[in-house]
Amino acid sequence: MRNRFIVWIVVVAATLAFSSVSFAQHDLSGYWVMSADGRRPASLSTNRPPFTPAGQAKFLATVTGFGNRELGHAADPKQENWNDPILWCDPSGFPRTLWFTAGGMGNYRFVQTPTQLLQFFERDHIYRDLWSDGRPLPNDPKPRWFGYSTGKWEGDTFVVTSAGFNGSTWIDQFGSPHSEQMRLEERYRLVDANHLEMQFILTDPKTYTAPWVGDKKILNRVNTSDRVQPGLWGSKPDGKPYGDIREDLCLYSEQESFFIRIDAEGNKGLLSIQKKK
Amino acid sequence: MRNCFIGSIAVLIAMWASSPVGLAQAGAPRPLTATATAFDPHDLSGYWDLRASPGTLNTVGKNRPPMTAWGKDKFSKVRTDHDGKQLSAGVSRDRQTWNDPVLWCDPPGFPRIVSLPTPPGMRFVQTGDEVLQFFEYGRTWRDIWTDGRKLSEDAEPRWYGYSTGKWEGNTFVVTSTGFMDTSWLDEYGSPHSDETRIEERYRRVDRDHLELIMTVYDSKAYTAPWVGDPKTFVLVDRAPRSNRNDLGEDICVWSETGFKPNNK
Repeated sequence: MRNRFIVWIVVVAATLAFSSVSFAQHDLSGYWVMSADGRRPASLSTNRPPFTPAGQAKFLATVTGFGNRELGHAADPKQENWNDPILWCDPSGFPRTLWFTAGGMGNYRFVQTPTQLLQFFERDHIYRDLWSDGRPLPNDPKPRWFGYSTGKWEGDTFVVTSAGFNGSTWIDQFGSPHSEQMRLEERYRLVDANHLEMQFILTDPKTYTAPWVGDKKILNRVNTSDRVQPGLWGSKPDGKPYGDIREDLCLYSEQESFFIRIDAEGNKGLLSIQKKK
Repeated sequence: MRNCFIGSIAVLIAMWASSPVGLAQAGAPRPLTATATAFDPHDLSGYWDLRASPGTLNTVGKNRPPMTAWGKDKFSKVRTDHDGKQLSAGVSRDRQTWNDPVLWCDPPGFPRIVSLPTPPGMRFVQTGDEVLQFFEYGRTWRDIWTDGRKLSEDAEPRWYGYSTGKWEGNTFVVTSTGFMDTSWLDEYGSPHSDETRIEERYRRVDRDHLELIMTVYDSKAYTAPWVGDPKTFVLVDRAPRSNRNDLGEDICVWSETGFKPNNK
């Protein structure tokens, strides 16, 4: 009897601790950072579906220094052979910007308004409009690096449909490809006040033989990005820091000198694109 | 009798088509003449297109103050084909000499992004703690914080600086600091230092028109404040270069231009 009482106390306490803070279920606003589990892998999931022949050819043409048992193919140690387009500051695109870290966990900021969810990203200092005002996706859009998005609430899940991507980006650092036919279903659900569950389902019949169903990843709420200067804006009256995210623009004019500095083999840090220009 | 009726219908159609509502439904911008429609002067929301203004479009203003020795030295290194007459120094037709950093996709920074000739315009969204200013170029934005926070004296420089704003009557006054000194103020190469402080004063003149007066304070580069020409933005139903009610995506991608950096 006493043991059952203790167990009951523990369960109640845990429940209260996890969800004691009331929150608006339909407000995704705030600063978010991918949880440690969510970053593994730095992609939708390790369960990438098989490639079509076109997808396979595109994937095998990628050359990167990142090896990954499930998602990569042979890593190349020679920097001058790498052809990851973000090396010369092509936009990271979506969804890749989500798992871009660059020396720290990438932080994002979401702002919910009556007509849209705005997403702000540190890498490329870019934003996305996820329109919730009832507009449809465009029929024949000019392809964009970050596509076009519309969203609506299904119960407590904000479901976003995105399409109209150009086929120039990689889905992840391992070279997972996509085409202009890529469509993303993004599902966002507040688990509690401080945790946002995110899951993507990618369909791209030109590249994959089946939909790529991503892991359910958890984003942790933070007061501000840990990649801005501590104390940058000071504290609010409640003692919490004013929030902000970092301006993380990739500049080709700086990349050249960066790669010269880090080139382990001392080959003057040539990037493969420079050999073509 | 029948002709009078048809004529009346024609007049009504003509009146509707030329009315603000009619033009709006056709996707056209509103006229530049003042409108008497009621509006909230503290609401800056919407798409705003930069049109022919009393002053210049592509720079802070025609009356740039004299430069300091530091400013002159920096300005002397400019090489571009944009000829702003009294605003220019290094006009060159030789493409190999050009060193405008946007050529190799360095960001234009602020305030240059406001008056980039293509595409002009911006979008404002207001929330409880800030005014967001969105631009098509670079798919970038500025946070103009209205939540009471103070600008830092020691902030790491940014291309778009740091901004706070507050209302003074019906004028939204923005103060910005913390700028990278690598950008140009305009396409003619007007220089600035990392000590630049910029004040923007936005005033909604009527429902369809928004006036901006910008003042640049930079005693390292100029001997006096640079008070900008008033610029007039016109409210439009959608961004000028979009078939949809959103801002386009105009990202400068170096691999598509291949212009070798020439900023040594």
